[in-house]
Amino acid sequence: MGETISPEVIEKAKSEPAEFAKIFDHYYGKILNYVFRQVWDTETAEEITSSTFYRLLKALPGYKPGRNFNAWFYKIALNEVRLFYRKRGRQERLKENVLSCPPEEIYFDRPYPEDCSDPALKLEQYEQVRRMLDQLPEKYREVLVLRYWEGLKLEEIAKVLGKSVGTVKSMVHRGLNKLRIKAEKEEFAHHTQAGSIHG
Amino acid sequence: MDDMKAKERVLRQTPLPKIIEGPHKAYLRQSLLTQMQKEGKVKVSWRKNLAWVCTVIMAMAVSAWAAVEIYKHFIVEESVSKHTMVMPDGRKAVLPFKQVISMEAKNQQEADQKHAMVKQAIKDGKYKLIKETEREHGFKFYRYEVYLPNGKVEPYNSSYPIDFDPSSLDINEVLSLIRQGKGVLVDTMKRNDGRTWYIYRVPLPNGVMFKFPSPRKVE
Repeated sequence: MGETISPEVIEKAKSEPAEFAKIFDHYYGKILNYVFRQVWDTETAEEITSSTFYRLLKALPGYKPGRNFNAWFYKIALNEVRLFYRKRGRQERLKENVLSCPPEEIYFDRPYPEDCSDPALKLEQYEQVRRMLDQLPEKYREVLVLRYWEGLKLEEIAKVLGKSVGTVKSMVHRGLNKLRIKAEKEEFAHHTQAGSIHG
Repeated sequence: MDDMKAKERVLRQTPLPKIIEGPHKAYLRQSLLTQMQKEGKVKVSWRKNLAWVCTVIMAMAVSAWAAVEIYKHFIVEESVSKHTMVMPDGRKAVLPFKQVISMEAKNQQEADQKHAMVKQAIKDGKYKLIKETEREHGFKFYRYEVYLPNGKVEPYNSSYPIDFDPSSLDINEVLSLIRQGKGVLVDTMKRNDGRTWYIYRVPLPNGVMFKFPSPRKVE
């Protein structure tokens, strides 16, 4: 999340299509993949990305210079994702929890800890973590996703969620703790299951 | 604590799936930019319309203001003071002395009061010549400001200097000046009764160009 759009471009983008295109090119992939990892469906991700950008186009004239644009835009995207779930129901999503697009349509940009080049293994590892995240209360899941997957700073997350930095810090800590407990339980269950099979 | 760090590391290192960007990007980009251009055009035309409406309103306001100003300064109620002069043949002639009063006076009583105040202010010398204009046939037109006791400034327009009183003129003196060739016939005027009047320009000894209408030629 290092490079950002300059305030001048944002200001010009309010009226100049060419400048708005710069914002679009910079954020399209980020927002699409952020949404995709939330909904786990290509078409839905594209739909939500479209509505996020249309929302941006409408809201941009009211954007006050000096605000954190990155956080502001992620907030729009998060609201669109929330709106989608409000209509559809989160439980529905947890039930599905299956990648609906062909595996060849996705790729991975982070090196696997063991430097594995097998996409299937990478996907498995991702799904394992995601499954655990999905079991967390939404507020912790959102914080952890924004922090570790989207690479937002604590201050930015605080702006996205409308909370103080201290609260966000504490939420990150609690989220990680809950994730640890889940992982331990899962590991315990796995061992128990394995033990009963092997035993 | 180590467990927490481990979880943090796991999250940081989790390979994140990304979608290969398809035609959706180009489509969305194009449709957003098209919408933006449309909105821009709408905004521009809305602004143009607003500017046009503002211009029309301003033009109307300026016209109205100008009309009022013109009305105040030029189209004035003529309160003709009928200064009559006895002609040598015994008939009475009415001198064209026009006392002008601004139409601000709403009714006759008000107008009369204002008239009296204006007269008094002139008598007291509380006035100022604003403009002296040349008129046709060598006559002049004078615009004054008269300062009333109530603090108001009243415009006063006249064909003669403000301190000139035509009723004080001696008609024989005027006729004599014409006969001496000093007075010049400058115009004729057909009256409603069909009679022709002769308009003379008579330079009086005090410098005033006196406009003398006569029902017959001065021989």
